[in-house]
Amino acid sequence: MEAVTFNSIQYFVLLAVVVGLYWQLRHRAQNVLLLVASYVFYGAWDWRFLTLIAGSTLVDYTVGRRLAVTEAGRARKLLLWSSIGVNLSLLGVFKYFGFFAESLEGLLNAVGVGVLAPSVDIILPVGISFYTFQTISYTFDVYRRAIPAERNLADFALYVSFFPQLVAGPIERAAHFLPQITGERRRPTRDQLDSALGLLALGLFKKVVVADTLATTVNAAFGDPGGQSSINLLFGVYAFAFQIYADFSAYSDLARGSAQLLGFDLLENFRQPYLSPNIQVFWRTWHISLSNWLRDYLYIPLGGNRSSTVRTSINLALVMLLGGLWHGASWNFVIWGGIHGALLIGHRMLGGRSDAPSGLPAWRDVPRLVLTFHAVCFAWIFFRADTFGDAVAYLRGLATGGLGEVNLVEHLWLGVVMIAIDVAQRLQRREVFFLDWAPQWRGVAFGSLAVAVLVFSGAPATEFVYFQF
Amino acid sequence: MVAHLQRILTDPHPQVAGEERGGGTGHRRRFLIALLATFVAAEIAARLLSPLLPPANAGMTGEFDRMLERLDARAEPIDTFVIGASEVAVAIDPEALERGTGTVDHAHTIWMPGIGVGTVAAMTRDVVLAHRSPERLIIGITSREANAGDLDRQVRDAALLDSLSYRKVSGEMSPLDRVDERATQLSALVRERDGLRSPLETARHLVRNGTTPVPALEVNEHGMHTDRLDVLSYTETPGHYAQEQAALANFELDAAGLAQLEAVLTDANAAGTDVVLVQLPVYERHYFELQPGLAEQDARFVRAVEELATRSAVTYLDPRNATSWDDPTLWADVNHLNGDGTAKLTDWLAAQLDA
Repeated sequence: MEAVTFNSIQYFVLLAVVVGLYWQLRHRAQNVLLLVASYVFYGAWDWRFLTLIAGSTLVDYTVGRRLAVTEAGRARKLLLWSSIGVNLSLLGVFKYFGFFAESLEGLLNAVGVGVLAPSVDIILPVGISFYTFQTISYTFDVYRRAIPAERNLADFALYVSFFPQLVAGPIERAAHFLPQITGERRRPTRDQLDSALGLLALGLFKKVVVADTLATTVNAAFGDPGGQSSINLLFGVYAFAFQIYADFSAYSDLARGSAQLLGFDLLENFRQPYLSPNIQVFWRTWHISLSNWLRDYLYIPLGGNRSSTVRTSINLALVMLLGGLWHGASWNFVIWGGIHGALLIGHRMLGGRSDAPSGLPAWRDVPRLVLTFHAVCFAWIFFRADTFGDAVAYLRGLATGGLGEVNLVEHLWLGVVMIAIDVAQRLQRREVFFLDWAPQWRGVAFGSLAVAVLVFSGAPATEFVYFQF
Repeated sequence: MVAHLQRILTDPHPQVAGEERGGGTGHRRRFLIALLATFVAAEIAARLLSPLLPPANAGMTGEFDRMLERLDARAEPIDTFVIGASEVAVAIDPEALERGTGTVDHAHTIWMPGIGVGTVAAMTRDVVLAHRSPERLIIGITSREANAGDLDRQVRDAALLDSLSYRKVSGEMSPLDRVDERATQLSALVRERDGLRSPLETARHLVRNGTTPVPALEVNEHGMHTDRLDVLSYTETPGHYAQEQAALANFELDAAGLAQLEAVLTDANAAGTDVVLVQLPVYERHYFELQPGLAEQDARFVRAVEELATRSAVTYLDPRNATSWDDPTLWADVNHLNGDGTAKLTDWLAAQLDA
């Protein structure tokens, strides 16, 4: 059986079958169907992954149940840390073992202790970073008595493995998602159906038309930075900024659209991040479910901004460094997180505002918006480059590559399309900005998205960028 | 202006949560008619734009299609196939082979530019052996096709093998491919996808008054690459030299590709096809200067090919040992023979086949 990605016909066949059956079933049967579909969906990548997700589910379910009946503070803490320990160990072994082993080897060799790190070929299970964070948040919330422990194992297993958001989020919170699972029989409302179809159309458009097309520009720029002019490399970074935004927000749109067809509402993950006038607003609008997770389960427990400026800065740096490492086992991701941490600290020290504007930015905000976008683009170079050396070579090329040939501009109009979508969303105050339009204009919008997907679907499809994290 | 646009677009009967969107059936009808009208308008626009768009049959898959068309156009049954990358396509003249030997009646060259040894194996299997029963296969290779470190080549090879054209010939078309093929026949929107999604390329094409020719390789009806035959003496262009340098950088012997070739040749040999593996010459004086250590890597490659030939029990020919190729008047560039070089190699090969 082949892995099923959201931009494949197989996914839409699976979704149609599941939705068709689901609408006919009673509540308990609905949950069983979703659990089976989720395990089939995940097992299609590699059936061995199922043991990991089932193990993680069992551990956190058991810990949650024990926490519900344990009063002693020390025992509760032990239970919490046992759950966190197991989950982080899974992440450590399957995602970071090679990275830490190689880094340690490099460090010891640098100080003259010649060692050879053990070479272990471990497959990275898809989505492990996402569902691990989701289960940790559940245990943490039960520990804090913010939510009750879930009694039904099948319902809890569905919370961990719900297939629309299993492999790349949004990272759901138990308080938001578990009541939807345990509640009454679900049928989507008419508004949910409209919104679902709109999100699916927008998601496919962003992935097939924007992200996959920009990927060719990005690959050309990052594949051979030494052979490109400065202007081409600049376009390459812009292209990546819009590729990763289109790619990841497409996944979130498809996940949320699929969930709405099943009567669920998933957390919003993006809110026009490139219209942010400063870096703090960027992080309130980019990968919102991860930002909020890091804020609630790392930044605030570390003390947040409640103590001195120095302590707050250390907390911010630590959270962003770990947030970077969450994205992948590479120093480049740590540096990416470090750059964002430094930008956030700098923003705080300069006393910058942090209110996320809901309307269109004013003309006077445009310079700050452009500056923020370029700061984010600078960090993206480290995120996209394969190694630190490659990132440095890219920066060197940007500085010294000269004007030379300009041939990577072709697809950049798609970045303008993404900004236009953001502006329309802000204006309409709705993600599926055309849903409130008159029916004939709604028809034109759906038709235009479908025509664009049809025209661009001939290009080779690529996997979603965030599947690797 | 924005507010005016919003007024035009906005639904005059907005939906009450949970209820039918205002207007019910009438609204749905207007929605569906507009949806359909958008498709029809796009299709009409694509048909009108079609003559103005750049030719769609460029690139590797275009070349692959033209290669298949040339092969289908040969009316006579082909008994000998010459297979490889561009080096073999200029080095061996199938027509001269027909004239110069008593054992070849009809020869034809199957090749694609810049492919690796794994793709040579795949084409031998999928284009030749799966559809025809030749008496003889002549596979020509150089170390240029066996560098696993050439990542660009791997991307190009993967794109070719994953193309609809290739899946069609290898019998691996999915039901979706068949829908796509049918849609290509019926709809200009689908047929003209390449031009429609490249507005800048289309604009460039229009600026040139729509005169962009199909960038095609020069190939004769026997499949032979004729582009460099009239070059009198070795004259390397900077562009080609840089391309070959890049193709041979980070040299790493393509063990997987060679294993694929071995499997295909072993099967062909077992099925009674006479398989001849030819180690094609390169202009060593300049070729080995392309990358440091290339001479040693090339020697490793030659040994690996010799061993492969022995294991699969096929005929192995190395013209490099038989005669000297260190003569600028035989070469067009660092790895492609010119007309005189081709005549020399083809004559030598014909003599070996008759021996």
